[in-house]
Amino acid sequence: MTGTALTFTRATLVRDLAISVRSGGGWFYAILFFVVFAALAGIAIGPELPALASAAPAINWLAAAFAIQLTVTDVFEDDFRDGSLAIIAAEQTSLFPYFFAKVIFVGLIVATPMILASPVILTMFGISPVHIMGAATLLAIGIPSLVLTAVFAAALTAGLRAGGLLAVVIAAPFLAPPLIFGVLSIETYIANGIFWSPETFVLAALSLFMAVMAPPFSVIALRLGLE
Amino acid sequence: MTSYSRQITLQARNLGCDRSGVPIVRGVNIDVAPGEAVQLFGVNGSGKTSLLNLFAGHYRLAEGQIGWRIGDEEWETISPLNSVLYITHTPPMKSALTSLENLRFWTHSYGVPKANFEDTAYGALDRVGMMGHAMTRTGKLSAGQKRRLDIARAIIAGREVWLLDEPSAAIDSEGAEMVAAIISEHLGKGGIAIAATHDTLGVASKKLVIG
Repeated sequence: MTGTALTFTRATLVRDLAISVRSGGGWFYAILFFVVFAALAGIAIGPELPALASAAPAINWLAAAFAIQLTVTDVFEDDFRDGSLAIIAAEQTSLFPYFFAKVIFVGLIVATPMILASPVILTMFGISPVHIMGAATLLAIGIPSLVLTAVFAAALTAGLRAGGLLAVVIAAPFLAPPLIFGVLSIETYIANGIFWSPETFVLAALSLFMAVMAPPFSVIALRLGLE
Repeated sequence: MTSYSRQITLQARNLGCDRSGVPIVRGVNIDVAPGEAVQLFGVNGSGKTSLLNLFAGHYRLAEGQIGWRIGDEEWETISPLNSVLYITHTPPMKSALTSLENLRFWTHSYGVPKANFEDTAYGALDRVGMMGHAMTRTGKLSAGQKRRLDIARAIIAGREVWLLDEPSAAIDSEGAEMVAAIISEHLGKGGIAIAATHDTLGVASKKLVIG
């Protein structure tokens, strides 16, 4: 990327962070949803610690997946509605710097708080303290695939009415692989103490795969949305 | 007043544009040489904005062709890199940010050196009569004031090709004169402008009636 592209990525990121801090704490919803979902799941499962502990990896991943999907759907909406996106697309050489700014934005305000909160959730579910940090790290390895899937779905549905729900439906099949291998990698780690299990490698591969696939297809989707 | 280093010519032949399979625009020819402006007239829904979106590269041509040329170089089918400035019908200003912060974002998008930002931005704000609102959040500004801010963006951009969708909408008559003066200055530097308007633009321009 050229200096101009980097400048534009940073400018977009700074702008979005400033807007999100000033507009009534919308950034807080994702982490709130994450914690509430996990807490309710815990209540539904009941007070048996072994049952809670065995459900913990699945609950942790499901909560993250849904919290990300539901809060990221409108990440392009404002720029789409006020014409910013049409202007950026017409005036800039490429939409990639803009897209990367959005991904970093979501990573900072949605994914990072979730990774930081997951040790609390796992402790609540009775995972032993020795495994807490490892399990949270596994979430961090897989969470890029969740974020990129969500941003891609948001790009596809930008400007559509009720696009939010559609985005969740579109993203659903893409969420299955990270959920399967995310949960398996934590279970393997807790059962055998192996952090870099084959499941972990697949999880990392899924994140890398989305890192390669999501940007070009999202940029194409955004341009098609303007047509 | 220095001229633009690139003098851009635009030529459109037999343009056609469809929306959802329905023909909107047919058989439009446009020639714009450096320093010229074209005004698109037409009733609502006649396809003025669609034409601008064709030039912006958002819509696909149903028929015809668009040619761009820098100086005497070869004709190209897409606009020269970093030449287009687009004023859409809604000023793209975020209500949670101040006028200056909004302009800062757009200034970065045009690659204006950081060191010059304050001078450039305040100069442009002064020009559009918004100096007193530099620190006001744009959510508190009127529609006309936001439009003035968007004109400041045009000044800062330093682009050669201006696509203008109702540039004077919601602006008072005094402000419309100011917009006309800014467009004239842009044309004086060898820039080109294509404007969709209902009123007169206030600058010498070719007139084209659509639909």
